[in-house]
Amino acid sequence: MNWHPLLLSFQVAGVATVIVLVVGLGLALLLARKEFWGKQVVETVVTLPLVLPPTVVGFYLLFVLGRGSPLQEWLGVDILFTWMAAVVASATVALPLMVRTSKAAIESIDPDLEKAARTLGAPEWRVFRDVTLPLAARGIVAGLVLAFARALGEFGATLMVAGNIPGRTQTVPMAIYDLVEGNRLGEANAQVLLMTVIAFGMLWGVNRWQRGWWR
Amino acid sequence: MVAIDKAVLTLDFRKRIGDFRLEVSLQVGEEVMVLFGPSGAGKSSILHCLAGLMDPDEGRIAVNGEVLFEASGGRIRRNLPPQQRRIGYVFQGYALFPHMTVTQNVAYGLRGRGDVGGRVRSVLKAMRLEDLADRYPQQLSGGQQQRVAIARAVVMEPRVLMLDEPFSALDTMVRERLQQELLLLWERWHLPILYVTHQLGDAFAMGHRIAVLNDGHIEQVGLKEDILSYPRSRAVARFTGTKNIFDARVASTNPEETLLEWEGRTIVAPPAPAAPGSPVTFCIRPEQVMLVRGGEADNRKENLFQGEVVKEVSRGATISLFVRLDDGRGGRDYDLEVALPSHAYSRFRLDIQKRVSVSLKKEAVHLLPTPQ
Repeated sequence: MNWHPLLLSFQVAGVATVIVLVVGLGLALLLARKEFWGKQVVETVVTLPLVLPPTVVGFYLLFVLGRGSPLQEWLGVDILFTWMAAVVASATVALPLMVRTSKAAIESIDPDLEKAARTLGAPEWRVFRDVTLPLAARGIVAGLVLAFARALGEFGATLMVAGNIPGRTQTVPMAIYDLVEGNRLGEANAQVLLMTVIAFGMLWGVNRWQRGWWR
Repeated sequence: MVAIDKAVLTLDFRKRIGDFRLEVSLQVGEEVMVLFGPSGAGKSSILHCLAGLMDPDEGRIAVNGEVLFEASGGRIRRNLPPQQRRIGYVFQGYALFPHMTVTQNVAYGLRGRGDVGGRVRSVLKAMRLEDLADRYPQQLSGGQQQRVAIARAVVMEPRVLMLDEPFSALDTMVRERLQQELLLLWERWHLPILYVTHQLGDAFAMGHRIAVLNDGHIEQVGLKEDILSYPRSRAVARFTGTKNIFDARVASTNPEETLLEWEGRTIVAPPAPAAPGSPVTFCIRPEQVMLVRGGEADNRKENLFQGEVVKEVSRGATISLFVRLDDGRGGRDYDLEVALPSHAYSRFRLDIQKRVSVSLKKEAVHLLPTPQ
């Protein structure tokens, strides 16, 4: 069995999840606790990849990463059709899951708890570290696991921006597609089973975590 | 002693919240000042402004001469963040950190200061919480949670302590005990306490002085006896339980008394600076209305009227009678509310439809300063 797609999938999903953690948590905090002009628009745009066909997201990303884009023209960054493009695609489609889940967790915290911490002398970073973060931890971890699982299964947008290059950008979902195309159903079965087990395990873990069985 | 002459805390600010306008001007000394008023009157917003959790539009907030907030002409000149104000805030609903033990909650405001352990222990002892030190908030009763919330606020030696409806969710026994304990704490620490409540009994049990709030502004500030006996507006009279508020007209005045004309009756009231013929509003508390026995019903009693009991409501230790006076103009179900102790009620052998004589003692008749 060819293990390269699986390792690459984990590498892409792992890096994407780190990006999603930083960007998603920041957005969740902003949307849950601050009022600003255009908040609804930001929230809608962030959620869009959840409902758009992945190919549409991929098409937009081609403009962001591709030839003639500011990224490529001004900064000389050309990551199209590399594994890093797959990271960008995965992170984009996984972000809404993280933002929505952790935003709900933060909103469910009584704002008086954060205010109380402030009146007790805690600077903002300590309010976040001591009150917001621990009380929203379950939602944040759940959001991360969902984001990781979604990134692992990414196909459409990744195909558009990273392609399907065996040994370079071929992740497990791509490999399965190729195997079925080539009528190598035995190998496809093995990969499909692997993906199913991993996805099942993670969702089961999230549900248990959220119900707090092991507490 | 209550030192109200020396203002420790000065609040003087205005704030617009949508259509709601908050306007506060209040001096607080080393006393328990109760902010009393119906919900939505702006009591919690005042606490938020003092704590630095909400910014007034303009005005000034100062403690011990230090300016915490100052803004004029739409420009904020000084605005100390809540972290640096040292204002103890006991939130409605307590706002204890659910993931921290009692000790961790109380120690939270002390981080970076000396002898944290010793100070936490001594406050826990003072609040009778030593045995609960390792419990989590959800393992405590409401009264215990409230004591933790107070301990957490006082351990950092605040310059002002604010409590937002602290005991309204607790049952009577626990509430009365905590009220007494809080007053003992005040005896010990002598710091200004702002105490928010919408319950009259709570306000009178706790306050040295009471500020009555209505619709974003302070209607009246004063000693509780004065608030009770000499309300300055119809709203204050209503909130403090003066049910009998009437519109009348000044018939004549002299240095001894004012004569009022009230729906064809004559009322003798204390002297007041009012011109004959001008409209006035007068009020009398239900417990100040005297029931007069039939035999005593002679002309020596002031403001003596006959009537009939049309309704009665038992309130435990007292009973409220609703009396319709003879020669009334009609329209209303009753004219006067009379409160009397239950034992007096049985002594008078009262009942619905019984005839009674009532006397409105001159000293108990209070004229509102402006007709309202």
